[in-house]
Amino acid sequence: MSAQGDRISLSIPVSAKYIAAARLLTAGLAARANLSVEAVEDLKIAVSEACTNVTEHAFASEAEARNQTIDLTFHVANGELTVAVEDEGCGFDPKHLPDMNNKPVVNDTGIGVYLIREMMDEVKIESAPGSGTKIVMTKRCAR
Amino acid sequence: MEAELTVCDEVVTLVVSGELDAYTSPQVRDRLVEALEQEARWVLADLTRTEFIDSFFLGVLMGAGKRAGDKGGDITVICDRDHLLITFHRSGTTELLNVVPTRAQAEELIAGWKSASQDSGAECREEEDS
Repeated sequence: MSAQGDRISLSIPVSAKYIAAARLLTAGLAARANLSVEAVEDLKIAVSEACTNVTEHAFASEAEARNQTIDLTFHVANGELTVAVEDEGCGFDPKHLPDMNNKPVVNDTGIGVYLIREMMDEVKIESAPGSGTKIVMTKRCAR
Repeated sequence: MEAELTVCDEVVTLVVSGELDAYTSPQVRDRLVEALEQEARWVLADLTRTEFIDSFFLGVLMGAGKRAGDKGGDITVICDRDHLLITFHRSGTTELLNVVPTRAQAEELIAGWKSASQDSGAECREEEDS
């Protein structure tokens, strides 16, 4: 691993079928970043939730999602893994995301993002209606 | 993912191994729904061999619990794996899904619910008779 860390990319079709592949790579890279077993599990869930949000909400129909991809970019450094999950779907206004003080109920669209925020050390969400979504998540070693 | 589903005495027992996400969970959901549309009204989900769950599968369990509740039943989940328990805890579903660590505790819960259900049924019948 270089001093600045390494960058790895993965693109998967917008299909739930391939989310397991994203989790698998996440687990491998998190281990390379020397994260704990618990942190690896948190990352797997966060990446899975981010990808599921794309397959479930980013495109209005399967036809629209065809030929589209979920683009994952990992930045691996010692003791830290940052994952960006990006799509070119319909996007949304981040103001409509649930407040962390008001836990959404399961089945609400906000539960995935809520879990991501609960499990990651840092989360940034960039999105706007019609402009796709990019969610950047960082998990660090407990110091 | 492998799922075994059996129905006996109004209890649908689900034992799943492997990973449950947005791709694999719908298969389990469909079988649970079918069982709950027929004989079953109590759900026992055994996750002791499950390696991964996300919010999609939590939604499946919540949906099964709702369907069971609509029939006067309920749901219990057996889970003893720390990383899965964290997901239940963080999503606020531990109590809603009656998560317990052992099969014996889950069976005890269901036996208690059934007994209470029969008692209340008897009371209703007694009220109707009087």
